[in-house]
Order: sequence, then structure tokens, then C-alpha cells
Amino acid sequence: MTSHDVQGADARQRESYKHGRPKEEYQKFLGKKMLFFLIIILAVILLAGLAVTFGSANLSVKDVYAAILAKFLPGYFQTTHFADTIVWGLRLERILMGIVAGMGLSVAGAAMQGILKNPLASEFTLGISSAACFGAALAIVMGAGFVGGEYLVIGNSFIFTLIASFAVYGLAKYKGITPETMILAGIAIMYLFSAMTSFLQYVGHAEQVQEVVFWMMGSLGKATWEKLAIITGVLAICLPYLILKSWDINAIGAGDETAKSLGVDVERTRVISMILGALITASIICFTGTIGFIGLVAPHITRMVIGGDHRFLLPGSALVGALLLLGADTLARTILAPVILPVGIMTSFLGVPFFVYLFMRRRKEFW
Amino acid sequence: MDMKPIYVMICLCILVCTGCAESINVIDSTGRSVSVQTPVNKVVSLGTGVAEYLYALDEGKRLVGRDSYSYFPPALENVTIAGKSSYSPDLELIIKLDPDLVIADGMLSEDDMKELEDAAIPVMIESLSNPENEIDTMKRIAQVVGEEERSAKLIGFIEKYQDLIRERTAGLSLDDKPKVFFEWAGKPYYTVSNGTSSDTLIGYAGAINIARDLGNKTSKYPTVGAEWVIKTNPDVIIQTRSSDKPLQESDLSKFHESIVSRPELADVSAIKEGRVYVISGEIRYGVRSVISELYMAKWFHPDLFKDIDPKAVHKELAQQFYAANLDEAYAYPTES
Repeated sequence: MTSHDVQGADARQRESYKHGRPKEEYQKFLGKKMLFFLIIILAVILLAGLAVTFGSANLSVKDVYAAILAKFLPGYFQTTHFADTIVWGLRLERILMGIVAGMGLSVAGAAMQGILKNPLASEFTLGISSAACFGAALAIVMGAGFVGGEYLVIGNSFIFTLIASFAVYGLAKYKGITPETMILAGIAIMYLFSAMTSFLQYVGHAEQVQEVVFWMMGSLGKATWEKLAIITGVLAICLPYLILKSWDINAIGAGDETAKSLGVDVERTRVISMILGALITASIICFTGTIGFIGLVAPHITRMVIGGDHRFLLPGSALVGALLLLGADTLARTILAPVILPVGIMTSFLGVPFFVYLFMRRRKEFW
Repeated sequence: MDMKPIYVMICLCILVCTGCAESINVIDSTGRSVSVQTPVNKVVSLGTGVAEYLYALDEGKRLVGRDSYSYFPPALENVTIAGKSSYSPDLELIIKLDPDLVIADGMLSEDDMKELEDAAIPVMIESLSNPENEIDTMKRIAQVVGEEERSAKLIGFIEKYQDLIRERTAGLSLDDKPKVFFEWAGKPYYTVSNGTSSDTLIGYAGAINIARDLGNKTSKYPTVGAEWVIKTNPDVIIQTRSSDKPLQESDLSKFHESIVSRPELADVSAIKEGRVYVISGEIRYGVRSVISELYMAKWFHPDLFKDIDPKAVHKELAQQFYAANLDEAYAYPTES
């Protein structure tokens, strides 16, 4: 929660006290937020249900749903092996990957923005994405990394993501720098890793350079059920914890001193949230490559609609992120079908206009 | 002192010198007229596939600098690398090498070209990356360096097999031509469309590239959906991979396995019938693109090319024009 929000909330609260029905007012606010959640959840379900019917394979809506339901009720629904391969082997994996990756990146972004009290915090501005890129490029071009075999690229990007997060955090903690300076440190780290990636691209041969570029553009096309299970597992552990900690994050938003006086262990909350945010980000982008913008814009969109209370902001961002990434990927794979566009292009195309629209309409309440 | 004899001597010298250093004008692939002093004794080659071709003409005598992607024949290792590719030439090094001619491809920037020309080094823009005009390019380069005879022999070798493929595939109807899905650069479902050398080679070898019409002016290399490939159900899948060193058979078989093991492709004809092949990017363009063409023709039409062994032809070419013994693998799987 920011000072604006605090003031806004205070004003509203005073207003409601004046009218003598604080509980009713609170219920109304809560109701609004719940309505927002409900709408977004329905939109995600609707979009997923729609997206699963899109694709080059000319399956009818009936075929698609028969294939899905046949898995659960094999006696009642008939499906073909072909439809089964397409729906279960390709479309569902990709759609679910869009949902969980969107959720994870947005929650990580929202948490980082909260604990650093900075609207610019995201996996990009903290150097985390470019560290992941460097890790992947190192594996692709040099074949060097921490783990071998087919997990080389994945393992490398994961580990470098964590390294960058700790580097940013270490700078902040041991040099005692402010959250604002932390962003600056993050951007410096971003430049360092970008430069190292560029260097690797320069020494690499054409095919390796191509691979690095693909990795940097991000794609949900490599989704598998195993990867989905890993990301979902990480989210299932991290998201509830972050939501549990959202009172503390709210308090940090009012200032470190205030939070401390309220009994919040600021350092601890910040470290743990940072680690969890990095862990979520790392577990996603090591499989998908860097998908830009979601982690920055989804929390802001949510904040502009339902305000800065992290109890609602964190799950809200997750839902908005899921909707945004799923929508972007569905567009990316259908508008020029069978040619597939990089999803990063579509996230910006979809997210920026909406972001700007909200920004123009609700500027005063923003951040 | 009478200066006349000295003037006469100087005039004579100038005459003799201009006589021996005759200059010729050639039109390069971009239509520029380039004035080159003959004989050409030192060449820096940065154009795709050009160093390999020049070596076949004179056993590397003229080559004083090359691009880093040219590493066949192995003897090229002894030639100085004068730039990673035409995109990033080492201008200082090239000027120091003092070549009579620089051959670069379209990636050479205007500024770099001007820099070289200011240093009085003529630059021809040529590359052997397009199978449609590579014979013409070879002839043009041979003429400039004065190796027409050797070049004619090499072109004869290439054309013999190209003609053989054309003859045998000429009578094929559209239904006889297999549908091919071609994948490259190691990214799943990254393919080629009309206007790329790989698409041209597939057409020459008597097949249809399923992604032929998916490109546009700016992007000839689309990424397609797996779903679309499954639906189109290609008869043959080919992947090409390149590296900065010769690929080994174990590499190729690994690439092969990574396609065959994709669960979503299990029902595609190419997989079911075992018609998935990997070919080294090293022979995709230049002198040896004809070898790619032979491999593909045999994969597409095994009955028509029963008597042809692309590997043996490749060995013969390497022996005859490069005095090199081939033992690396260039395609997988092969029968022999």
C-alpha cells in the first residue's frame, strides 16, 4: 500500500465513519474486488476454452471437447488418436503453460514492486532476465554450465537468475542502499549480463546465435506436462506464502520505519519475498525463455483497478497475468497461422494499449 | 647533361608495366562494374562458399584471407581469417594483406566497401549461397582469377549430376513428389519458404516444401505450429544443422533422434515410415550443394536413384578437386 492509497483509504474510511456504517462500506469494497476476481477468472476460463479450439488441425469444437472429456470419462466420449495428440499433446500444454507462466511472472513482479516500493521493479529492470539469457547463451555457445546433458540450458538460466537476484539483494543489504538505488543496481547488472550475452553472440557461430536469439524472444511452444508440473509446484508453494506475507508487504509500503514500528521484520520479509520472486521467475523463464513485460504491466493494471492492498493485489495480478499471457499467446499462434509469432511481441501489443488506457483514466490513483 | 635517354627509359618502363598489369572490367552479382588488375595473385574471400570454390581452382595458391565459416577443405585452416563473415571484416588486416581482389557477399556494408576501395583494393560482391545462379557465379570468379579451365572441369562434374537429377525427376507428376518438411537451425518447427536455397534444392530434387508459401518479403524463415505439420502430414522430414567445425556421425544421429522422439509427431507419415533425415549445413551451399541435392533426390525418390551413392560422389569430388579424404559424416541415416 502506498501513501496515496493510505490517504485515499483513510479519506474513504473517514467518509464512511461519518455515515456511520463502516462495515457495510468495507463489504462493498470487498464485493467490488471479489467481482473483479470473478470476472477475470471467468475470462481466463472462457479464453482457455476458446483457445483450445483454435489451431491449424481443423478439429471441430465437438472433437476438441470430446478429446478432453474422453480422458476423464473414457466410456462416455469417443475420440480419435489424432484429436487426442493435438489437444492433449499440443494445445492444452501450451494453454496451461500460458496460464501458469503468466501467473508466476506477474506475482513475482507484484511482490518485487511491493517490497522494493518501486513501480519499475520487474525481472527485467532487476537484471534477472538478462542473467537468465546469459546463462542460456553460455550453455548454447560454450556448452558450459552447472549441470550437464539436456538440462544444460535450463539449469544454467535457472542458476544465473538466482545469482543475479542475490547480487542485487546483496548490494542492497550489505551496502545498505535504498530500494530506488536497488533498481539502479539492477539496471547496471542488466547491462553487464547483456554485454556478456552480446559477446557470446559475437563469438558463437550462426546457428548458435540463432538459438540464443530464439531464447531471448521467449516461447510457450516448448511446454510439456513435466515442465508444467514443476512450475505449478513452485507456484503452489510460493504464492500462498507471499499472500500470507501481504500484510507485511503492505506495511513496508508505508515505509521501513513504520513497518518496523508495527513489528514487521522488514529485512526478513524483503529477503524471503525476493528469493521467492526470483525462484518463481527462474522456474518459468528457464523453460520459456524471457517473456517480457508481463511481470511489469500485469501488477500495474491490477493495482489501477483494485488498489494496492497486497492481499488482493497478489492474487489479482496472478489472474490478470494469466489472462494477458494466454491472450497474447493465443493471438501469436493464430493471427498468421500456421506461422507462429514470438509471444513477447504480442504481450506488448496487448498490454501497452490497455496499460496506457488505464493510466490515462486513473492517473491519480496510480502508485 | 642530356636528359632525353632517361625520359625514354621512363616512358618505356611505364609502357611495359601497364602492359603486364592489364586491368579488366567485370560486372559482379549486384551489377556493379569492378575494375581488377590482372593477373590476380592474392585474393581475400569473405563471400559465402567462395573460399571453398577458390581452393578447388588453384589449391589455395591465391587465397590469402578467408571468412571463419569456410573450413573446407581442412587445408584452409592455414589461411588467415580476415573476418568472421562479410558483415564484420577486419579492414586493417585485409589492407595489410594487400590483396589484388576482395570477394565478399551482400553482408558487406557500404562503408566497409568504400574503405577498401579507397585503399585501391577492388571488391566484388559474390556468394555461392543460391543454387539458382551458382554456376554463373563460379564462371565469373574463374574468369577474373584466370582459372577457366579448372573451373570448367569442376562445373562439368557438378552439372553432370544436376542434369542427371533433372532428367530423372522431369517426368514426375505433382502426386509423385513427396511433401517435405524442412527444419533448420536447431529450433523445432523453424522452417524455410520460397526463395531460400534449401527450398530451391528441395524443388530441384523433386519434392515439395510444405512451407513453401508461408514466407513474405521480410521473412523467409517462418516458425510454424507443430499442429500444422501434423495436419499437413509430410512424407519426409529433413533437418539441417551447421556448426563451426565438421559434424560427426554421432552429432547427426543425436539430431535425428531428437526429431523422431517428439511425441506429437508419432503419427506423421515421415516418422512412421522412417523417412526422417539429417543433413550437414556444410554442404547446403556452394560447390557441394550438388551433394545435398543428390542426398535429397535419393531420399525423395529411392527407386529412381538406386544406382547413385551420394557419399561416393562426395568422396570423388573431394578427392578430385581438393585432394582430400572425406571421413566426416554429412548425412544421417545413410545406407552404406
